[in-house]
Amino acid sequence: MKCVALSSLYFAVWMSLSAQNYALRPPILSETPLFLDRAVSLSMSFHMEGTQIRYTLDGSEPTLRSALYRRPIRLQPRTQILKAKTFHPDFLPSETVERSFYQQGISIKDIRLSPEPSASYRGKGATTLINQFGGEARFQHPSWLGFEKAKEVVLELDLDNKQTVREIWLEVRNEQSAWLFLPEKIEVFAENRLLKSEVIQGVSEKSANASRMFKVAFPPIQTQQLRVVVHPLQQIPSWHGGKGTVAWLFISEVAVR
Amino acid sequence: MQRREFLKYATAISSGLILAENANATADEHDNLILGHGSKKYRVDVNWGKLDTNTTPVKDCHEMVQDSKGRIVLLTNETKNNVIVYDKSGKFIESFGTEFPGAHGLTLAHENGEDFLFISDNNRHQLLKTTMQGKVVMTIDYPKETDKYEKAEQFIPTEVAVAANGDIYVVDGYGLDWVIQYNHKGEYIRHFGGKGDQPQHLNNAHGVCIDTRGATPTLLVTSRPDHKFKRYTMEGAYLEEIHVPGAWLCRPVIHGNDLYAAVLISERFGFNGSGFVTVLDEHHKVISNIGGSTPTYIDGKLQESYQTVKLWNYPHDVCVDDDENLYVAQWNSNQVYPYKLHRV
Repeated sequence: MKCVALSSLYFAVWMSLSAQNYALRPPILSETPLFLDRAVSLSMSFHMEGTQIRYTLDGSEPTLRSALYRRPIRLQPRTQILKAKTFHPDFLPSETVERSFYQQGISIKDIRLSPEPSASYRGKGATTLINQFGGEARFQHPSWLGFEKAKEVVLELDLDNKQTVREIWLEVRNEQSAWLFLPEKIEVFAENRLLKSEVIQGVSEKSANASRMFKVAFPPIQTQQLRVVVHPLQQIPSWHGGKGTVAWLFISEVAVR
Repeated sequence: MQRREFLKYATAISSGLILAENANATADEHDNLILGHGSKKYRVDVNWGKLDTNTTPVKDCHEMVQDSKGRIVLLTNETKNNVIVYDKSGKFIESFGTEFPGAHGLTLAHENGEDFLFISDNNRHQLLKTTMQGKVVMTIDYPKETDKYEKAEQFIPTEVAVAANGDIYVVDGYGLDWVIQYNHKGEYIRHFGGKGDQPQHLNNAHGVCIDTRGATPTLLVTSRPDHKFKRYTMEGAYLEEIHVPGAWLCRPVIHGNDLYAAVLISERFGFNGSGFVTVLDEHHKVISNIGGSTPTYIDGKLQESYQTVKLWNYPHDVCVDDDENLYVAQWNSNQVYPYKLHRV
């Protein structure tokens, strides 16, 4: 036993001398929907010999004891978060890449936008926001619609039929270095009645690049139409190069529950 | 060694992570970093170009060439010393140049037994030919003859290639993306390329070189954010493109049978220090990514390349010396001096 421990120690010392100060990049995830109505397959890759991809589905940070990725993962249609990292004996592990999944909400038949998104960030048109796919970690990706200098962005949603709704979800992008800020306020109307006005806190504070999913809840109502009014930040704060001007608003998805 | 570190590695060993030592190890027994693939693997020397920042500072290290004496010449937009000359071991030899605030492109031309430098200056909107002592012997201003420019400020040349007959090809990579051909006296001949969505058009025509590997020489131009090299005849007729998905190719550098390029960023990871260096063989096959993904072909189609190890920030040029070792200059990387990559 002592012999094994000693040789492990020597081996470990050798490895630590060889360990570099450089970290890996995180694994590449295949495109998957954000909202699931059935099981989906997610694959991960990282083209570097000797690297392992380790992942979790319980929200914990991946370690060398976590599940080892060998083949595409089958994800059931329920709320969960996938976290994954790359590991290699000669390098520091990567940052964690994560992706959330939710059960699909109430089907949205049609969506109209006002104003139109900017020509450079039109995605695949208005239906980009109801295609069940979330936004990639780059705002330039066509999973996002970008609105420039808008006073407010109105989303008119038509459901398949009249049903009870109690929440809308909205995925937006914060990337302040690119003048993308979170919205100041999200309002939900049905039958011309204001159901909820949600003011978002901390929008003007310095914060890291991230996509955020806002959930705006209101008393349940029977309706076939909803109007969501999203208010972009009207005055970029003074610490930013664009101070005083209207921030960009980027939206990737809207959902109804 | 620390107990915690031992435990980390002991865990790694017990979970079967540590594979048997093999020829593809990315670290040798001397704690050196080995990167690259196939026959193009290199040991990284991050200290090679380090100089005293007080006496020989750099800003962006833009491009490098090897002169006829075997010296490694670096171009930086630091006007204290735009041109810094090293020997192959990284020893400082000399520096000169104080009038090139926008020093971006560096190309060596050998004429009648003498070396000349062509410096493309973004701020001066000019191309300057200098001796190896830094004396300007020819200046090329913005190409009025093309009828495409209203003023000098639109011409932001990024690089130059010099043909065997002395003709000079300039790429206006930060301006209007034209390739402009001059004779050796600097007289305008023609222009081609330019912006647009047709195959012959260019997007950020950042680098240019002459490819003499084939039966007849051709011109290679990078269309950087489109991840492409584009090939033209020496008269400007478009021939083909070489697509390297995901790679922001800065400058084509040909040495022997291979095509090297510094990759500024990985498209996937964007502007957060995600560059690497790529090498293609004469069949346009990517054979190595130094600090990047294993070149992967599925059904003959090259898959996206991306940074795998966060070694590089923004590689801007790679220089290949006569020993086939590499030198990499980086842009916007905290004034880091060039690294050397030793072939292993």
